Amino acid sequence: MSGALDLDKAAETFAQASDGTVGVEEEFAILDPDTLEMIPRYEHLCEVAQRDRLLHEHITGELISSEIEIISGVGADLHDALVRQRERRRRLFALADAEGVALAATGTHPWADYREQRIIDTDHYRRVEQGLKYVAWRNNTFSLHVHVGVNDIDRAVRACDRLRVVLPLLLAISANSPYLDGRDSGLHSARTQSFTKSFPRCGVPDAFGGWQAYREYIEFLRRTGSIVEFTQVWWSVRPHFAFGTVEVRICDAQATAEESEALAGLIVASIAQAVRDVDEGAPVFDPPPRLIEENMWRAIRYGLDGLLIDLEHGEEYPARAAIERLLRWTAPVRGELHIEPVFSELNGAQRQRRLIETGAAREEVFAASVAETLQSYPQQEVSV
Amino acid sequence: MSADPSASAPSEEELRAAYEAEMSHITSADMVLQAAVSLLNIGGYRLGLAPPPDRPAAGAGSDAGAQARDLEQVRDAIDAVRGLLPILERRRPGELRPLRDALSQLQMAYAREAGVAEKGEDVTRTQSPSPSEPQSPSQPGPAQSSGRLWVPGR
Repeated sequence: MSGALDLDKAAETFAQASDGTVGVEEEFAILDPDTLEMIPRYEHLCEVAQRDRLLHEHITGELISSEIEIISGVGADLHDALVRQRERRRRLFALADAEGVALAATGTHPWADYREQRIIDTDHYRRVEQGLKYVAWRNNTFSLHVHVGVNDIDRAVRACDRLRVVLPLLLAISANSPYLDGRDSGLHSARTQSFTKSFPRCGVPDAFGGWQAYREYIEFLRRTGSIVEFTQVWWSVRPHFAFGTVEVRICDAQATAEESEALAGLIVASIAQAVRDVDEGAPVFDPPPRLIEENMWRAIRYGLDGLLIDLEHGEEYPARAAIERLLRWTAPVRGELHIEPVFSELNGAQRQRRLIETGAAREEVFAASVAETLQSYPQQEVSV
Repeated sequence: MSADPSASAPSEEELRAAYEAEMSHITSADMVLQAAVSLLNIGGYRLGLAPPPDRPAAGAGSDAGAQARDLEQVRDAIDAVRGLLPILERRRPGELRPLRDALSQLQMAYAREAGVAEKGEDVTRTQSPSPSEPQSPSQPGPAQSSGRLWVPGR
């Protein structure tokens, strides 16, 4: 079982990990193409995908049967991971089309009723449901996760520490879920409010300072019967014990493949720069969690339309400038890794909000987002 | 409509008969469908984008595109098609999917274009700097200048 709690083995996995490998995970809602309602077809799609070995090996389930995830597997770097992921996307969207379903990539489904969703039948998700109940049922959310390989678990934990202040910025840039439960939530990332703010051990973690403290924390959780596998630790940035990676899990799913790739690029650059800062002994900026939470809230509520706080100087700045700030901070590693992400003028939540302002109904807003997804994800060129 | 002025004008009776013959071939639903398609085309044209209309670098478009740009007309076209859709749902359910897709695409393209033009003025509480200078930073926001925000290190 990938989540088992052997901490020596985790340290060993990181000791053998290579710096800079990249993995991408993208989650989609499975829809009836006419009504755009969520429909429980994960098991069916998975079964049909058995004809396509490559696709089948890179599909995974994610909590509910109306959700499907594709993973890139281990890429040598960002570009390799994206080439792999484009191939998965192309095959998944073709399969979905052939099976008469559509796929959506927003952080939440606008009107699906969580009470009608079925949890998929796996050991992990049975445990999640048993342990979390309402909190698990409520979590009908879709996101983009990005992994970067980090050699040495101590470096990985310390890189996670440095990424804490970055999480709200990435969230604001990614915001793509204004609706929940059939109404406009008034938020830019209702997903974060519904999932990240309600799961235990989720959101912005404490700073641990190194592997020793992190190890003691996980041992404490195990000793006290709080967890039986490390994947029950859902922090929005975490060392992934089975992969030997730092994983960032803060972002909403992206409506277009171009946005997903730009964001993946920015996340990879951020993780790589954090590791670089650890290696170079750059000063750690470690504000109290309550201040990082101020930015989390602003990202949830206003996304890129609002203002974030420069926590070092106690000054507000337009959230859109978060992109520029992260690009500036990561410039050294981006140069080496050839990562030049380009972001669209408005993120997904902003586009949806502009549509809402023109009087579009939620069904129309969602249809417009789904149209973007169906147009963009299967059609990315496979060669870079 | 090919009236030859030299020929003797058709009688009122003949005109009426021709008109009725034409009317008997066409249905309201046909006209609604036709109008919807035309409106979608006009809306797409009035976005003023060089094709394809969904590239990130759009907005600049071609010169001809820039001249065609009239976002108010795009909005009119979108609203009109939205008004026509319920009729097509009743009468042409089989032809609805491509129309809906086209409308969705037009709506999203409009949101992108209009949204960039206006840039979220309703939400930020201070005047937000123009998007072309995202770093122009650090003017104290209302929370800070009013002293309500605790500032680390001060």
